[in-house]
Formats: sequence, structure tokens, C-alpha cells
Amino acid sequence: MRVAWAALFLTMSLLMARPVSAYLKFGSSVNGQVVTVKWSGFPVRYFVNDRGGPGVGANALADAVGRAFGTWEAVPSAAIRYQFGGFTAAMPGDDDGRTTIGFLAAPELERVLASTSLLIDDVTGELLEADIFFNSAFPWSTSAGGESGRFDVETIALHEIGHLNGLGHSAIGETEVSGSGRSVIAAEAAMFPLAFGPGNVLHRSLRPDDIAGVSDLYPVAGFEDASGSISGRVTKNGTGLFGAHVVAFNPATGALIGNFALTPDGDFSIAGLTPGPHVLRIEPLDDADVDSFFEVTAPLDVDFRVSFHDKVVVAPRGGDSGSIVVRVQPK
Amino acid sequence: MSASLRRFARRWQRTVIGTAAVLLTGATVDAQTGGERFEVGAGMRFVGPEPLGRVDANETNPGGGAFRLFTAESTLDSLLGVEARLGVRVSSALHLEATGSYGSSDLKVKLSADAENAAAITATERISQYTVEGAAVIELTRWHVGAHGTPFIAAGAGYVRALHEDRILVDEGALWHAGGGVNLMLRANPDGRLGMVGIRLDARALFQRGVVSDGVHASPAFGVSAFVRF
Repeated sequence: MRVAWAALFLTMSLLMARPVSAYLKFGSSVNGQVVTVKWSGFPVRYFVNDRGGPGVGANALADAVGRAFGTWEAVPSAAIRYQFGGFTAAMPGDDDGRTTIGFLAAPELERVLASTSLLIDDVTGELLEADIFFNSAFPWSTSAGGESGRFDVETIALHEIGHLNGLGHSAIGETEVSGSGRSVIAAEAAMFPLAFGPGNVLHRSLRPDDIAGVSDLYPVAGFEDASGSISGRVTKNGTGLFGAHVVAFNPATGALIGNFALTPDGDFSIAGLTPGPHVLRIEPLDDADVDSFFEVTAPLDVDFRVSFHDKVVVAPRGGDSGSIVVRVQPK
Repeated sequence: MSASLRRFARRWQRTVIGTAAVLLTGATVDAQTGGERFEVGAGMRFVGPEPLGRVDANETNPGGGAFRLFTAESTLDSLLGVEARLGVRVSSALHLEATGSYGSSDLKVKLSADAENAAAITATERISQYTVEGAAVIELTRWHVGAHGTPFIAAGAGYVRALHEDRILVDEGALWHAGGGVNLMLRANPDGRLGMVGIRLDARALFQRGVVSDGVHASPAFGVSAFVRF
């Protein structure tokens, strides 16, 4: 049985809550079990709406989107492949079994630049369709160097294609309060939920967190043997802590890759790591829009201090660190 | 040679010989060796801390510059280990040696300057190292340190294998070293069969690659060992 599961990811909003660091895979509940949402067959065939959008013709849209797909395809440790199927009169959001990309007017979504909706087989978790729309209420550009006052289609497409792949929001980045919302002061993941701003093209490339995520979802042969993972529990006062961010930093490469403690026991796992020593940084989701990252299934504890784990943790080649316990202190 | 330099040289000779007297007792013999061809030795080795470098955990700011989340400064701490070696003399001055060693040290990563005020700490991990190396040793037989010491220079290369804590990851790398020291001949033919007994003091510049880091890192190393020549 196929069920449409509309997942509206409020991506690239300039006013969203403060994000945190992690790559996150989408999961879908099947018979009480959470299965990873992903494509089962390649290439993933996509179509581009033939109307284009404000300031962007259909061909320019297809070219920009094609470059963003190419960036994901170029990850050497990921096996996912895409194929441009051509132009279509269908609109993104139509449940027609076709992955469609185009512009839609959604002025009521005043903070949403673009969005991805997924159609999932609720028996297998297999992705069947993923439509991406760019909000034509905003000014857009496909200029090679970006265009002042206009959002870059390729940059935003790169983020949305991450969702199309099955990745949730990452948040290796920092924001600050700005007026009634927040603005980005730094980010280090294409899957960070907030855009830098119009004219900026810095996030046309993937970062280690994005690469680890897509490689974990669609590993090439040998990747799992060549990479490692770190897993464990975050605890406070001896009990598990739900929702904490755990970020693994590799001092040899400078890579930041993370995940959340996603169970009431505070369990976390970070896969796709370069084998070797890592240090762990733990931080609370103290002012984030938690729903933009994951479904809240337990009370979220944000009353703890940002801290480092006092042990260097090794991600072994082809294996897991073994369950480690990371203790945090109340504020 | 100036008078002060001569005084310094004499003081240094006394220090070396004094150290030898503490380590081994018994009669000392002249530094001149006999016809012994092989040497077996064992002792201790100290390797100084190896700075692995400082890396910032950076994010990208909207202008394309770096936003530092925190700083990580890594050091492979000093190592105290044991070693054993087998040598063969191929000429009056040249020896070839094979050495194996074991030791352990701590990888220390100092984490500081956090953008969200996380307390600075030093995260640690225990690392065990095994080495197998070969070296060429040239005894400077024209020179003497006191009556019983023969200085030497040495250079070598080898393989290093490091086991991370809980033995869940192995690093394999290479090492190179160059340095010198002194062989102090302490006793000749102690049991009627062995030719010479002595101790070796040495210092070297050690370069390693592949342990924790892919870069080449240098550290000082010092050794003291007892040997028998036969």
C-alpha cells in the first residue's frame, strides 16, 4: 500500500530558530519499526517544470538544478545517481509518481525559500517520489557568480536535493537573534536549514557532514569497511538525555560531523567517519525549532552546558567505537 | 680550544662516566674492542612529546571567512619504552643493527576557545607503539670519551605500529632517526665466553609519519641500554 507522506521541510528560512550540528537521515515508521527512507533504485529520474520562475527560465532552472545534482553525484563515497528526464507541465507536489522540480507561488510561506515533499512506500520505506518547489515569492538567480538581492537556485537546490536523498536538516552552524528571528553567522553544511542570504553562493559545495550523510545512506562498495562510527549515550545526573547534539571533530582533518541523541536513553550514533581519533562536543537544543530537525518523542532537556567529552574517541575502520557514555552537567 | 671549552669537555666526560658507574658496577676496560662480531642489547628509551599541530574547528561565515567554533591542539605525549637490538659488525667501525621496541604514551587534545563558552579541557587517549627498525652505526674509533667510551653516530629507518586505546584501530607508519652517543665498555669476558659488556647512551632526532597524523613530526629521543658483544 502506498501512502502519501507529505513532509514539508521548512528549509532555508531566514528567520528560523537556531540550528545545531548534525546530519540526520529521515525515518519512517513501518509496523512499529523505524526504517530509513531512501531510494532503492538508481538513477533517480527527475523532471523540471517547463514554466521556469521569476527571472529564471526553464532551461536555466534545469541547468542550475543539474549542477546541484552533479555535486551530490560527485561524492566519491556515495553511489546515488540521477537522471534528467526532461521538462514537464506537471507541477511539483502532484502525486504522479514523477519527481518534479519547479517554481510555485507560496507567498503565505514568507520564510520558506523552497521545500521538498516525499512520497514513501510505507511498507518498505522506499522513496517513490520527491518533488521540490522554489517559492516564486522570492527573487531568484542562476547567475554563475550569484546576483545581489536574489537567491541562488543552485545553492538552494543543493540543500533540497539533500532532502530528496533522504537527509534531514543538519545544523553545523551558528545563528544570532536578529529582530523577531535569527540570522546565520556561520554554517558548515549544505543541509543547514538557514540560508546565508540573497546573492550568496558559498553553499554550492558539500561539507563533510553532508558527505558523511549521503555516503551513509548510499555507500559505494567498501565504504562501510573503510569508514567508522562512534556511538554511545549522553547522560545527565545518570539518566539519558534526549535531543542533545553530539558533534565529532576530527583533529587530523578538521571535519565536523554530528548527530542527535534520539532516544529517551540519550543514544546517539555518528557514522561515515574517517577512521581515527575524534573529540566530541555536546550542546543543547536550547533555542532551536526542534521540529525542523526531528520528531520530538520525549521531553527535550536543554538544561545542560555545552561541553567536550574528556576522552579522545576512536572511530575504528569498518566498525564502531563501542558504546561510550558522555556526561554533561546542568547549567 | 678555549680554556672554558676544555673545562666543559672534561666536565661532560666525567658526567658520562659517572652515569655509567651508577648503571653498572664492575671493572671497566679500555674502549678498544677485540674481534667480537655480534652485539645483543636491551634497555630503555624515552621519546619526547611530539606536537601534532593545532587545528581550528571552523565553520564558514557569510563573507566566506572562517568562524572558529573551538580550537584543538594535539600532542602525542612523551613515551617511555623498552627496546632490544641485535647488531653485527661489518667492518672495524660499521655496525648494522635491528631493533624492536615497545612503549605507550597518551594522545592529548587540548580543546579551548569555544564559541559557546564550553570549558577548556584536554581529552586523552592511550596509544601503544611497536617499532621495528634498522640502523647503521659508525663507531668513531679515533675518538674516545674518557678511557672507556667510544662515540658513535647512527642513522636508521623503520616501521611503527600504533594501537589505539582498546585496540580498536591500528595506525601503521614509518620512522627515521639520526643521532649519536657513546658506547662505554665496562667489562671484558665476564664469564669466560663473552667478549665485552658495556652500556650505550644515545640521543637522536626522531621523525615519525602515520601515527595519529599523516604528517611528519619530529621529537627528541634518548636511550640507555646494556649490551654484550661476542
